[in-house]
Amino acid sequence: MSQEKITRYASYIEDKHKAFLNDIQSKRISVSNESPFEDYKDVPIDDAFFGVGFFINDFPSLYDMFGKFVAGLDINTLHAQMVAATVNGTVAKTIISNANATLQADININSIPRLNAGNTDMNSVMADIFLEGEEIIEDTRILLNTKFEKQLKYSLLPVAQARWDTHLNWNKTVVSYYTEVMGLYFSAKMDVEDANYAAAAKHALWPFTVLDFEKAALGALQGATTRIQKDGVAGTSTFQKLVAGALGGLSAGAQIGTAVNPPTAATATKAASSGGTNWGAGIGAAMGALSGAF
Amino acid sequence: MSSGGGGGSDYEPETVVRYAPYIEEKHKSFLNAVAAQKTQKINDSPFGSYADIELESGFFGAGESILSSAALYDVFGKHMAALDIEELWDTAFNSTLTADAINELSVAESALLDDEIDSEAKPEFLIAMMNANAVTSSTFVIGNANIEKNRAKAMSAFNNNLIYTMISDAQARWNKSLDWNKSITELNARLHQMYYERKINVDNFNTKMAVEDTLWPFTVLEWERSALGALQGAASASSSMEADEPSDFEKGLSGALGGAALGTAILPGWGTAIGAVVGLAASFF
Repeated sequence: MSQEKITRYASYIEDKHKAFLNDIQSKRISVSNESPFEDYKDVPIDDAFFGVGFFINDFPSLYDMFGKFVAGLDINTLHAQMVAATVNGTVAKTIISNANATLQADININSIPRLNAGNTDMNSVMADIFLEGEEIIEDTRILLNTKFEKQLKYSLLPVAQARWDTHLNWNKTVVSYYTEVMGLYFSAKMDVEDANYAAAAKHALWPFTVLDFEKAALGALQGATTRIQKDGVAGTSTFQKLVAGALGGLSAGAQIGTAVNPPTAATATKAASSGGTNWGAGIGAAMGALSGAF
Repeated sequence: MSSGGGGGSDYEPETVVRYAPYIEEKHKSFLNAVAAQKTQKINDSPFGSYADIELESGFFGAGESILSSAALYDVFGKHMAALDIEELWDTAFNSTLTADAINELSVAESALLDDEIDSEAKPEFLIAMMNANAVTSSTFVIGNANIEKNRAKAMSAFNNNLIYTMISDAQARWNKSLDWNKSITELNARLHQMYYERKINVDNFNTKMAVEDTLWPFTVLEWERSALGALQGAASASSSMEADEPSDFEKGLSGALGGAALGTAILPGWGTAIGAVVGLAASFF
């Protein structure tokens, strides 16, 4: 025959416990359907990374990018293209054309009128020697244009090399950044999904969160405590956050391009200051020719 | 403590847990005091006035969200993957080497040379020619032409060197454009990273405060539960207000202050600020 055992407490304790259980029950009823997580809005992730309605599948895969920008790149062909585009490209042609036009205009506007004026003073405008004077200037102009064109191309060779170097660095950086951005996505995705699902779990388990307090209240006289203590909510995530450690590979402040030094004296024409021009050469040549005439 | 038969039948023996009268009296008085405090506090949650931290407003502006800004992959595509860096090179070189400023410098140099010729070279030449009685000779014409020839050389040298000098500037401009585009992508990624890191924490914090508010009655009742079981050795009420673990904010503040102190030791002023930022960031890892 079974025997039941009833544990009783002093009547004042039982009275208080009964009232306490009524309080707990009343509060449980009032809040068990008032989950604070009901209004939680899922944090968006795919829309923020790829645009509204797009997903990672809509973008080139990492290996496609790697193939396009690095592995499949014919760097020697690229080098030839860089040299051609730099030395013989439209930019070089424009610069040469502009330099020629500038010099031609300067001669036409300033030099020829002054030469004519000087020659008019001696009534030699119609003489052959007058044409010879203009030819001297024209020959010089052609010579200067040719010289500039060659020197410019010579000077652009290191630019082409730097351009190639920079292009390669850029391609490498594009793939590196794509890797980092994708890594950030996956880290953020896991964190966000964890946060979103944790909130959903907390919402779903909310009634149990509340009931746990009533359970502890029932066992109050046996020293029972609630199982949920610190967070106050069932379903708390213990997931290790990853997004904070993402982007570690981005090199903040690193320079992409290869610098080009100005042409050295070996390749560049010496700049002539206004005071350093060798006017004496012109005068000396004339005097020499004059003295030779006597 | 006494226990014994409570007068029940053989089938329902009762064990009555009792304590010394003075203990029961004090316990009863204690329970009344706890009940009075409970009644006073149970509907007075201090968390009721908490206002959610508005992360989105801080990051994106009032009423906006992360979806209001360009997607990270779009920014990456625009400023890196799909950027035509060779077209950018053409633009950098064209706009640098054919800038109006270059033409203006050339015109200014030309005027200086003309002034020098008119005020010095030509008079000197004419005097020499007159002294030699050679003003009407062909030599005079050649001399005049030579002056202009030298002028053309000087102008060409000036113009060309200007361009040579600007080549490295154009290249630097291109390099800087690439760095700038890279920086845009990088900063955008870091902003996304920071947003998501903070967003999760802030959402957690906001909901934690809402939970504290909703569960406030139970927080109060936990003390009463503990009081009821006091004579059975029940532990004190476990409250979510217990600060065994520092919050994210406390960790961040602690890290920032620690970093600031270290930074100040190294370099007062800037070091303090840099140390605070580094300390703040490190505290979250």
